[in-house]
Amino acid sequence: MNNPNSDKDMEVPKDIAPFVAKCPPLLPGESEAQYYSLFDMMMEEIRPDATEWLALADIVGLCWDVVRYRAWKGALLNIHRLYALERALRDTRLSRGAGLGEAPVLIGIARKEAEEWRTDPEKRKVLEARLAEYGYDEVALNAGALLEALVPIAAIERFLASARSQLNGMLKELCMRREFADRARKALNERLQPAAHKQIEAH
Amino acid sequence: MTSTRKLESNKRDASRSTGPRTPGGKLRSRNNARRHGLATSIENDSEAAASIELLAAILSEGADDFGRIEQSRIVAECHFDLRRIRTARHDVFLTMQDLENVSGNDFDNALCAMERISRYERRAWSKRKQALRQLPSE
Repeated sequence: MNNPNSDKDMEVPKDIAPFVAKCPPLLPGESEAQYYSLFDMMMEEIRPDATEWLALADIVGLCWDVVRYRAWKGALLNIHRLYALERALRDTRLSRGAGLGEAPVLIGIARKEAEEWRTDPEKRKVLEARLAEYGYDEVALNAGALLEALVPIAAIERFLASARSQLNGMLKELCMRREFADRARKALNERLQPAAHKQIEAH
Repeated sequence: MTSTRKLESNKRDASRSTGPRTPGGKLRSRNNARRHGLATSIENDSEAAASIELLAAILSEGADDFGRIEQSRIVAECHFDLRRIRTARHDVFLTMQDLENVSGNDFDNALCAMERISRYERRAWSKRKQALRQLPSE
């Protein structure tokens, strides 16, 4: 929705600014400049009036939350990738020493090896070779991570879908209000102008 | 099953305990059951009340139509309610700020908290949407 007639120097009205143009509390690593740049961009696109300013603040807030949820999703996959790696390493040990069952000691060893895989490049090569021997490659580990993280990822997807649907709903509402205002204005002009002409002619 | 003697003893003990007595204790215990405070109406927040009135006045643009004033007030209330909800959500995000060192358990707790907050948010969105529809556009 790029308005070619838009002025680039649009500003939030002074009376409403304290309610909508205040940066919300941020997380470490986020910056006010980024928030205001998003706010300005949306303001230029939407060019709100009256109550639409409130919707604008919410739209920016929702966009901001979508980015945060995406970061959560990435972090979740990383955590569960490590869990999947632990499970794979445990499986390779289980296959070697059949009969040990899920001994806690094996779980401990697998956890230690997963940590070494993350921090020690030399050890990582050795572990990767062992994993490959048992058919675990990058794709298998990623699939394992996705399986492990399925429930929390589904929850995050729900939040993301809810934020997106809220965004779409608000934009749709804005369009409807504007369309209605346009039609009302047009109808009024059509009705009032002939009446005004008649009055002028009568005088 | 609890014996009659035990029941009487419980009643006797309970009558002796009447909760916190000092002003400090009363102040602390007031928040005992508080989790996020979103169930309380925003109208009860004395700090927000003045701002709500101000925003409602701006939105009603000095109109003397009761309906418009009322809808403007609802929109203003919802705006501050949504701001409060956003702050609650920020607090949850804050517990997870160190994403490289959080556990799957931390995520489970945070997602539960988010789920609870979302319920209040959906209500506020819906209430505001209804009120905005009643307000005539420019």
